[in-house]
Amino acid sequence: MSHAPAVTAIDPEVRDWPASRRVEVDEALSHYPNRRSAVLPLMWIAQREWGWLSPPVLRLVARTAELPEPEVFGIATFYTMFNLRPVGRHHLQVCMTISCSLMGADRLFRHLERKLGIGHGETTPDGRFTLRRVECLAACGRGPCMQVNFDYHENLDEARVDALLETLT
Amino acid sequence: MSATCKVTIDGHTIEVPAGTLLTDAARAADVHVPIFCSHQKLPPLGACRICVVEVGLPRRGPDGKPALDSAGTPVVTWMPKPQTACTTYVADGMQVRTTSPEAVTARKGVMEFLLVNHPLDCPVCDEGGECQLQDLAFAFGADFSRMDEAKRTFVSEDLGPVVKKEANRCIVCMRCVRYCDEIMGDDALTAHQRGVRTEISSFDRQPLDCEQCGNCIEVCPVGALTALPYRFKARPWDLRQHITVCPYCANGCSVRLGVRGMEILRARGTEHRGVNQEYLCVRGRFGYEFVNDAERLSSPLVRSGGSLTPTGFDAAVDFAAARLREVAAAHGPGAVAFLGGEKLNLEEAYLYQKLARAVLGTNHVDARTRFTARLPGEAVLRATGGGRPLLSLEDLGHAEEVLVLGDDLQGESPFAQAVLVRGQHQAGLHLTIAHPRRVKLARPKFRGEWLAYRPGSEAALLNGLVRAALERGTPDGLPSDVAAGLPALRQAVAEWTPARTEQATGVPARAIEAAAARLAQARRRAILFGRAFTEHPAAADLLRGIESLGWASGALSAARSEVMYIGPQHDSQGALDMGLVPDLLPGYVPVGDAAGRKPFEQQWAATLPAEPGLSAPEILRAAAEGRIRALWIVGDEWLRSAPDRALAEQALAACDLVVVSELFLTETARRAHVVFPVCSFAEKEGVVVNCERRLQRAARAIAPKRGTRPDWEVFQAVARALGVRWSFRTAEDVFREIARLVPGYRGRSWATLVPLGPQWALEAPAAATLGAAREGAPPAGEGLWLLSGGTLFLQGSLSHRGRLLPKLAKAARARLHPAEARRLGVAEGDAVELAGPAGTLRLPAALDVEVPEGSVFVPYAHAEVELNRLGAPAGAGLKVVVRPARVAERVGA
Repeated sequence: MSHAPAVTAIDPEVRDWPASRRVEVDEALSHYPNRRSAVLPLMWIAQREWGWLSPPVLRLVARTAELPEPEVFGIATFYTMFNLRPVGRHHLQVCMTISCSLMGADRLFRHLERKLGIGHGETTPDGRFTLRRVECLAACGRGPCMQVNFDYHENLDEARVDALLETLT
Repeated sequence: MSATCKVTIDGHTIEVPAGTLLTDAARAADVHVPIFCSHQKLPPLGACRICVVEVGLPRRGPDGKPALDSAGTPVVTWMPKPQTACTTYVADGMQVRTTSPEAVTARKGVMEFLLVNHPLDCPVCDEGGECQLQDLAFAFGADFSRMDEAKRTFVSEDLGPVVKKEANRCIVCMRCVRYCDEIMGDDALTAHQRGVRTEISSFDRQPLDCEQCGNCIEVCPVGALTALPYRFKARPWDLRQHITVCPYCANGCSVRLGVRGMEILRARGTEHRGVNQEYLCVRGRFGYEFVNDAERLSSPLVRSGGSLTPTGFDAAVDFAAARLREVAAAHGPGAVAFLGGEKLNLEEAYLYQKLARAVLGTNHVDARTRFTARLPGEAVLRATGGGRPLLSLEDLGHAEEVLVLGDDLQGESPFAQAVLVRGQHQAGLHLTIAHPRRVKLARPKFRGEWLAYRPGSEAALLNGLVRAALERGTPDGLPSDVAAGLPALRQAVAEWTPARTEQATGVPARAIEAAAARLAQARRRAILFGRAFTEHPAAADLLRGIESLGWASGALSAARSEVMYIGPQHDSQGALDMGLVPDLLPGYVPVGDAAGRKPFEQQWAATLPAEPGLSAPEILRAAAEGRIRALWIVGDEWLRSAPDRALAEQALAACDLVVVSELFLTETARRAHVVFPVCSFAEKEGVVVNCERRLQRAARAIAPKRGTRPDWEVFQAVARALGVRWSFRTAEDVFREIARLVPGYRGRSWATLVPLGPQWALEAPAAATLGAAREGAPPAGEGLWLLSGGTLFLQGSLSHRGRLLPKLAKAARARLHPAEARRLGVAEGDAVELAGPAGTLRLPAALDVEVPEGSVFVPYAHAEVELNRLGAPAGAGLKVVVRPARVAERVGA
């Protein structure tokens, strides 16, 4: 598996939350009796802000949640939806679990690979798309399904995917 | 619920305390239940499932009584599935089968799963031969595999210079992660990913940011974590294993040396023995390298014509004896002094002072060469309860409140720190750390309070704590002399209100009151102190303050002591006990006590001097001034340890005779007239006494290096050359004399000290000396307070000899608070010059928010740091002028 090029520049010196995220961070912390419980919401805020969870960002989350840094790193790797590498503007996540698979998810995925010139976990050089196989998206009645960032696109075939990609600039 | 439960395991019925885990009950019943993830020092987890057994409980009838079958035996209801013994607590009447077909099949199934991804690369695995997975695969595993899928693979990693990780071998038992967190307090390891992809690693796979203790390697039941320094050096069955006592700090951990031929290849913990069991710190685990060092001395040296020349042992002995006799004859016995000895075994320490007192007739004996002021020999004994039974290191972990006075346990006493961290995680231990610097245990992740007193205000802090403790009432169980002295103590500390103490120390009044209240209210507590107070210029006052605090807070009582002294060396306590102080004979008998002296005079067939001798700092001055003409220095790089380097140089130059017993040709040894090469800790046997006052027999692991002798043989040879008839054949012979003569040690024998000896106590405890501590005068002059302390990776000149420890320690830095550095115009890494009253020291600076403003912290254990070149501390400490080195150069030019 080749490493995707860094498409989201991240300040390696990132030390604190931007002022624009302060309200969200405080809101997340306010939901729990102790700070460590807010670690997942904090990671989501961080991913919204920076696109992926770089080591400096994870250190910031650890400081904010008052957790040991290695533990935060472990948590980030435990879940699949945290990006530990930069991703493109449009994160294409193709469901490969049984219903979608029966409805042609594999064919669809190969089509995307050919069309975009990238494989699983890779990002196009222009930083537009990242392609990834994922497990069940819970859209089994409308497969094949692909999640693009946080939007579901269902009952897909090659033509529909091509049309969809046109709209994703 | 009854206090004990009857459990039947494979037909053996035993009675164990309620709350015992089945794994421990099985061990008590001598039934083998295999474990991987379970560990004696960690709470139950049940991760690996290898300990599955069948468990049944007596069926109870409607009346609540056990139902009986027709034959009158209780009916057992077996649980439908096997249970993990490591998470199941015993219950009365519980039945357990470990060898039934169900249990065996279940265990075989677990083994099969554990081996699904294990590479079975035993031939190239350092764990091979002592691997629990290997042993249990042999015992319980199938002899074939049903798997034909590819195994998941990981890339091997070096997690820093100590830990080698081969994740393919990992069975994800989580021991390493939990040990690092709950015992070491480091949280350096974590599990990445999940399920079958789970892999133990660090943050972002970076080198581990931790104490580098290697305990993760020790507790790893397989070869997933192995030690890089030992990698591919040996197979375990090629090693002879010897358990002895670690030669570094005063905790006295048992250490298992792996020896091949004459070479120590590794050191490990001992699993179920010693005060430490599996635990070792980085010094204990990797600090043995000096033993194998090629530069070890192998022949006595005698100065002739200005240079040290190798000579025979007998000639060296004759030379030393003749010169000692000359000096004593010309200038009197008071012109001879004996320094060092905290690294000697008990027997050697005893003979060292016997040589001084009985053969040469001098009380100028002091092991405490770093001390900056005279401290009565009894001060430490009194501060720790006068010789009453002392709490153990294990007890520390069960205390509710622990007060650490002035020491950074990470550097001075790593095992005690681990016990405290474990107590925080697994019991309700609360810490109060009194230290000017934010040391590890004072960090917010630990439950406790940091009393950040200003340097030099130690006496005020103690007085404030004593007063606040006395405000809580009079503790129970005080001996009569203390009870009688309390009103006077109350009077003496009356002025030290919390507000006044806050003013003097900078510690909030509220925090002082709260700390004293916690100490006074705790059912179990401990007060720890060490060299930060004993090597203080006002040590005598501070130790009286600690003693007063002990009595005022209830940490000392007529029956026991919860105040522990952590000496600077592994046998500091033994050296004290054996009278390596100028005013006490062995067993704390004052030299001026004619009745106490008598048994020694009879046994030693000598008249002993009744005047207390000079203490180490006084000997230093007397030798520099020519009043002392002959010095013996044993196991001590005196030029580094003496409080004033320039004086020590003068002293060595002025003496007619300097004898040095050493492993290496140290700087001090280079200036000697006679140098005796002696054995390392691994090459001799004898007793050492740790900070719990526990006697432990250290065993010999390897034969003495060619040309070296144990120190006691050297002392005996010189004594005989001086005309006395000592005839000890072994160190044990010496111990027999100690056991006949020395209070606290009477009636003991080597045979009773294995595997773990008792903690000694005095039948007649020393009388208490209560009082307020006087404040030392602030040091003269401008500048920053010099703070110093131990570092984890180095201790003493022997630790400088290895490769790994100095590498881990990195270069010493002068640590400054960023605000202080800004004022001085110093940036991270800039060279700074520290100027004291007597000299200067140049070091790179480091910015560190944990160092208080107005001070500079310099660790003293690095080879390149010779703090005694700055001059001796006086009053309440030492101030140094710190400035950027380039400015210093300009000014100098």
